[in-house]
Amino acid sequence: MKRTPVNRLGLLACLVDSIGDLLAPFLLPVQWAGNRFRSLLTRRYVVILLLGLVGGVTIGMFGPQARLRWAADPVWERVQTTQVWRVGMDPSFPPFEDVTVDGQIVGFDVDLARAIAQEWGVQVELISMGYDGLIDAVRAEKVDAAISALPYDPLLTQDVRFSVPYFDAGWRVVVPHVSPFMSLGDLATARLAVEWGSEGDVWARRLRHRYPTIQLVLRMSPADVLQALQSGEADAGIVDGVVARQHARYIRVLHVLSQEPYVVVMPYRAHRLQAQVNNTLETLRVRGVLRQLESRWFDREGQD
Amino acid sequence: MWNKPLPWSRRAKLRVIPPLFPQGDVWGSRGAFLVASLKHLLRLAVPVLVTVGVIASVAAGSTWRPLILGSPQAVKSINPKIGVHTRLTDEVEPWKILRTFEMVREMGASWVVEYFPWWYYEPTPGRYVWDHPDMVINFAAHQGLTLIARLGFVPDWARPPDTTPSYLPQERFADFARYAAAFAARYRDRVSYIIIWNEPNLSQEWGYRPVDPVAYTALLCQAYRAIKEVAPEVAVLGGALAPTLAPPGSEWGMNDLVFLEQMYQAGAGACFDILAVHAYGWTEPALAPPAPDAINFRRTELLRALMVRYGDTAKPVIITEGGWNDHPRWTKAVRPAQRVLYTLQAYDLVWREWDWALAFTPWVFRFPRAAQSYQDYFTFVTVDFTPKPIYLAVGRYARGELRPTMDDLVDIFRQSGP
Repeated sequence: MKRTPVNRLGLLACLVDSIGDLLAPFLLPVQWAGNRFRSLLTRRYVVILLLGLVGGVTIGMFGPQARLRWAADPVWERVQTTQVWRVGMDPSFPPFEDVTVDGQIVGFDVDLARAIAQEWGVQVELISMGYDGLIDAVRAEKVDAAISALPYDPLLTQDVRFSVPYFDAGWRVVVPHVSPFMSLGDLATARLAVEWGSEGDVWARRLRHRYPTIQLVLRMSPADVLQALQSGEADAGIVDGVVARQHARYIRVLHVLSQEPYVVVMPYRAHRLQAQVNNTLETLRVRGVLRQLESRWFDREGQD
Repeated sequence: MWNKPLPWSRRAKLRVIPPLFPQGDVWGSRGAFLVASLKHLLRLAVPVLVTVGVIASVAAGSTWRPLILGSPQAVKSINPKIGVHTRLTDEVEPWKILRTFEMVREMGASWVVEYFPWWYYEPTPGRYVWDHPDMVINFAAHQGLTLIARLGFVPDWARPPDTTPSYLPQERFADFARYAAAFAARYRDRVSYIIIWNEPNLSQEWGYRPVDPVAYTALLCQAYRAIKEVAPEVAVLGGALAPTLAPPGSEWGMNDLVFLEQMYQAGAGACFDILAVHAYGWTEPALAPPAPDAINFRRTELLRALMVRYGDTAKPVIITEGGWNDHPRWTKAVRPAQRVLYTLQAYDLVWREWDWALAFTPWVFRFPRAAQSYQDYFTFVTVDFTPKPIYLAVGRYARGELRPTMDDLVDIFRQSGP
């Protein structure tokens, strides 16, 4: 009896067909999506959007900033290796930094550097240098950072890295705590005390252009300005952020005229150090350590 | 239909304004063709020119304005030795340069010192770019100001890699002298004073190398000879030393009195016409007596005594930098009222008593942008040209309305400001 030859190829086709039938409910959406995708590709704007997306992701992953992010930070590694953080400062700007009679550098910035280093478990090495050379010293990595009442400078962001601000020394309009003035507009007929010739004086003359009836009370020093406020000879005064903070017990800030945010300056390669400094500053802020340091160096209670 | 003749009006138009490249003999005479072509081009040119003009105006931004200099001005002042150091190197907008010199003149200052960096104006060897100095020098001359040019700032092609622009190797002294001579030759009718280098007794101004009075003297002499060859009437100023009490062997600098003496010993006396002096008062009053171990304004007298000792009695002095700072917290600063008083007293001292001094030009009139540091407290006007009280007080003094005494300043306080 002659056996009918088995059509293996046909069987295979049937099998595949059956599997296809079984999978059809699942494959149909995929097929539909594929067809939709192909039809979308025929539209130019979709292609452009996709290319842009791919390009953006590529640049984000492999571009110069990304490479820098993934790159090592030799400054931070050195701090970790040596367990020493070299901080440059010009000890000529009390109460931020000054030199005692026995040659010690003290001040708010010194304590801030020590508090940050303590969080990292490393030592601080203070390096005294002229103010004009601080940025160059950071740029050349002669120091790991500079903390010296240095303001943020947007024109230097391609040369060095800045931390978040830790103090604002800009100019303010201040009034006694019991003053009825609540906004700048209330000053239209006020007696405004300023130190003659200071930046506050310049601000006062600008304000007088806006409110011509302001009466200027000129004094010879910031202490005299505050004295005028306390004695009632003036209704408001203009002082900088440091003086305002030093006398916060007696006066309150009515209006911020300018900002001068002080920051920690670091080498451009020190991206991890920058992140660590920012995180630590935030930690110190949350824990109240920054406020304690301010109280220690700026509160004039008992000093006046 | 295609044989239908065009209406006469259309035909006429075709004859007058033909296509640019006509086919066939449809134009009549050659002259008519040229006239018609020109009209055609004109018709194209108008929209093209308007478009280009609009694009150029937008590209130039809102700062593009015709600058009107007006008629030449003259300084009015009772004290002809009042000056001020301007800082226009990075100032790009012409109206700000002009406004700076106008305000300087209105303050009563006759002298200005301005910096002309070598790197900016000779970016590649032998190729000079004079646009900016042309403008600065012309504007200053137009305001009737006497300009003193300070030269320095080494281009990258004239120094080794990884060095600062204050680093000038000895084999490149001749290149600097060539630049100084080119500058002098170009501006000899408007610039009569040139300062060679700045504060060479500080390491940072000598390329962070140990300072060297002999090498500086060699540089000064080369520049002096080069300038005199092309413009013998131009006065060369040497020195411009930073007042410092740096101890012997300091890596940061050399005492200015010691440096000047070593310059004389190296033969510098024959290589400058006027001594440039930097006279900062720091925390001391203008009239505080001089002493070798003190930095104050009258330290200038000690430098002058050194000149006399080396036989340079006839040579004058110009104070090309100096003054006081009124930063609220800097330990080298004074209070603003003190700054005003000391500055006026210094102007008066130089005018009435120092007949060997031609001018006092304190640092600095204005910065193009805020330095955001104690440097801002040296200025006379703010970045936006708001006059500081010191500017107004100097103006009053120059008009003879104010004497340099604290009593007069107190009167100003009583009048609610100057």
